[in-house]
Amino acid sequence: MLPQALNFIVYLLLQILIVRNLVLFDVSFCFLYLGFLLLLPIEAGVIVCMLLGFSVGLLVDIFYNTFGIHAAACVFVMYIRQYWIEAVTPRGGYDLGITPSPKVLGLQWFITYALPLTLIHHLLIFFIEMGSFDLFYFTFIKVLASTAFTLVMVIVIQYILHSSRRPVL
Amino acid sequence: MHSLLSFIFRYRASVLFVILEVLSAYFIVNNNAYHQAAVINSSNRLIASVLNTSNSVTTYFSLAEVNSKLSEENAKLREILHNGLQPEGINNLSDSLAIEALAEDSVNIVAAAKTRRDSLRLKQYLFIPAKVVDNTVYHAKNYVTINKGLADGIEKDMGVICPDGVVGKVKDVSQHFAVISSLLHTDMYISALIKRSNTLGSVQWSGKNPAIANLNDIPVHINIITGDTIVTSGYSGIYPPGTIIGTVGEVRPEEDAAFYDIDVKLSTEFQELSYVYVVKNRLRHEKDSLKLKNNIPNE
Repeated sequence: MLPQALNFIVYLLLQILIVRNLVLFDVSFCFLYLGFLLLLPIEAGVIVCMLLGFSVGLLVDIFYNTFGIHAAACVFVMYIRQYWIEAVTPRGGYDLGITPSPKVLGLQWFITYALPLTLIHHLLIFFIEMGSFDLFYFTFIKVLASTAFTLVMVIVIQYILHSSRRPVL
Repeated sequence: MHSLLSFIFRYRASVLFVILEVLSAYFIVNNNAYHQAAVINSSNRLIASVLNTSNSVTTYFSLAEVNSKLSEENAKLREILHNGLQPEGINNLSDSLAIEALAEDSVNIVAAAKTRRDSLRLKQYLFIPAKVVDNTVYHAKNYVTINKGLADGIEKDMGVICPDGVVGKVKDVSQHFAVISSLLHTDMYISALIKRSNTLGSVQWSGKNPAIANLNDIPVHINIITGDTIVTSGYSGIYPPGTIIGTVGEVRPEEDAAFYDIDVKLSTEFQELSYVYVVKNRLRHEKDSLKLKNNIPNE
């Protein structure tokens, strides 16, 4: 529980103070905080996950002045996460008490798990923000570029934060 | 009753999902709606002070540029002071016209008009300087947060300009901070004039390039040239009339269309925004209430 609380704070601070100001090629945003939600323990109940998603989303929304958009996207991703985790169960099932991180289940598995969820999250965020399908291609490019940026950052942070010998959070 | 409760319990995850999504949707609609009660945003004291602290670090990197811009502006203002000219951005088009018309009448009226112009009209707009503590340009709806609020006389819906041109409109204000809907916000319309021909149109950002906006509602029979200056009309009372918005970039006459498709190169460099002025129009309430009394909708 405690490491999760620490994770929560670290991811949010990184998002708000640093990553928020990073925009690559004018189109690529990073929503690193999604990493916190994706890396919640596999056994975490869907209700807890959705409530966490909602609160993290709202906190991020406050700083982005997009009240409700991130919350909506996070709740949606957290709701479908359980089904997706089931769908991508590796052969032999999950060990008890693990987090779905690239260091535990392998990078390839992690990308299979995280890519669709990140893509859905970003699709929701950018299209709700745009509020219409005008500029569809431009918004879609934003979604794709940001998905790549977020995913790479989530993986990098995993290897940086948890590179020590202590057990993976 | 029992079966209802057990049904809800069995599908509690889905029920919670729907509740949270509806709640989020309510927040989103509320936040975008124009005249709704304010929600928590970056004008909140705690949030803004976090932004302020984080901004105070990055401020140092742009100090040189800010300095040179301020001294440029100082030079311009000094020139106006010495030459007694009206600053181009703050002049009152309609007023000088009114005075010319009056000049045909007796001298007394002219004098009266001039005094009125001096005492009231010239001080119609007050400018409250503020520092930008947070700013985005690459979202579809961009906001600027500044470090002045209610305590400094800032109110909702006031215009915000900078030495280069128009910045936006105050969306929400707290005691010491304010959030501004940037011109780079897809729902913002600014009533604009082509300065050379005095044609009325409206400027709106498409959501793509932070240096380019669209000028709409210009009929195709109007003669328009690349490089024409686009200024605010001042009809809404938010911005002083004649504040520069940008210059005409590309003009695309559409086949069989009644209006041009015009690109405006924005004169404000939104990426570099560091100091802005909030415009307080002292005659705004009078004008608005007169319009309201006559059932004329405000834009």
